[in-house]
Amino acid sequence: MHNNRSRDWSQIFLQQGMRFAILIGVFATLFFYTQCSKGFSQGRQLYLNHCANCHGADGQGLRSLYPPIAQSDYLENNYEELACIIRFGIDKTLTVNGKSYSTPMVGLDELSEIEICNIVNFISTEWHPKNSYISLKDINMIIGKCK
Amino acid sequence: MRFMPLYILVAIVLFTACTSEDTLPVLGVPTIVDGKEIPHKIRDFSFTNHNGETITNESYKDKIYVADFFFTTCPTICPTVMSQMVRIYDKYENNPDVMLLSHTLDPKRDTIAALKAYADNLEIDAPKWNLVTGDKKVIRGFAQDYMNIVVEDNEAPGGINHSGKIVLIDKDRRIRAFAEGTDPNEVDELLEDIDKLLQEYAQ
Repeated sequence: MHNNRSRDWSQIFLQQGMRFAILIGVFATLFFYTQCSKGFSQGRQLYLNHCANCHGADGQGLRSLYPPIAQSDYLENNYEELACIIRFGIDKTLTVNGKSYSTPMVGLDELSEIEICNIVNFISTEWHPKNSYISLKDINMIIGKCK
Repeated sequence: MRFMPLYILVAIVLFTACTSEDTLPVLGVPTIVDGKEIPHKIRDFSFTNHNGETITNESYKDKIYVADFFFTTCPTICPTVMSQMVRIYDKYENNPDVMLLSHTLDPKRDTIAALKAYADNLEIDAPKWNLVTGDKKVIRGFAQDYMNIVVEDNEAPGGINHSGKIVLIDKDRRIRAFAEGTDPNEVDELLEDIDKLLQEYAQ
């Protein structure tokens, strides 16, 4: 009698545990699909694929042709503009660290908001630690208000 | 399949490259005239540079030089290759024996003014480094001379698909080494090869 009862309890516990695990899985999946990660692997890979050709793998830029992304006073001061530049490109002369740059950039409209969010946060984690993490919600808001 | 001959050429090149240690090999497929092997050579050329000056093979006489193909609006490999060309330019800035030659693959958009702006932005200038333009078909023919492949492709970003080889030419206009301009490690080796070639002429 006593043995049977304890087996019942363990079975119930297993069932509940399973349900709990599935629930955690669902929440985790939802979380990862609606949030962008704070820099690192995904943002780095996106940066290398979409930005590094011109701005360099180390964000150093190229002479007066392409402005640096790393340690850029422009990005330090106009951080919210970054998402807009990635989405819509830019065709005006910028002054970055005292140097002027006028090579136009085309917008990367193939990138989703989450991808832009990952790139922006990678750039901040890697090169602009003073800039705070920007959430996907904020990115959506910024992009909605570009120009 | 269309580029099979080039693969064979590259295979020959790689094979030849392995056989010698001290002096750089002469690359490319030689032509045989009257039973004699004549090495692959860059033909006589005449282009216009970013300052509007005529640049010919005479401008590169008694110099060794590196050559590549690009266009200013190319969003993919060109900026990477150019950054490597800048490395070469910087290293030999004070050595008049080494020059550079970049050909535009898009003469329509890359006017002399556009090339001039690009050169200014790269902070480089002639006579050491010429960005040249000319007849589109003629330039594409020379791309083959320099072992580069160029294909018109509307699907490709910028409309042109091309390889980013940086090719080292000796004083007899023979190809002596090359590197993928997109690979900084290969360009490290090319820099060593340039030194080797300079050494060859110093002896």
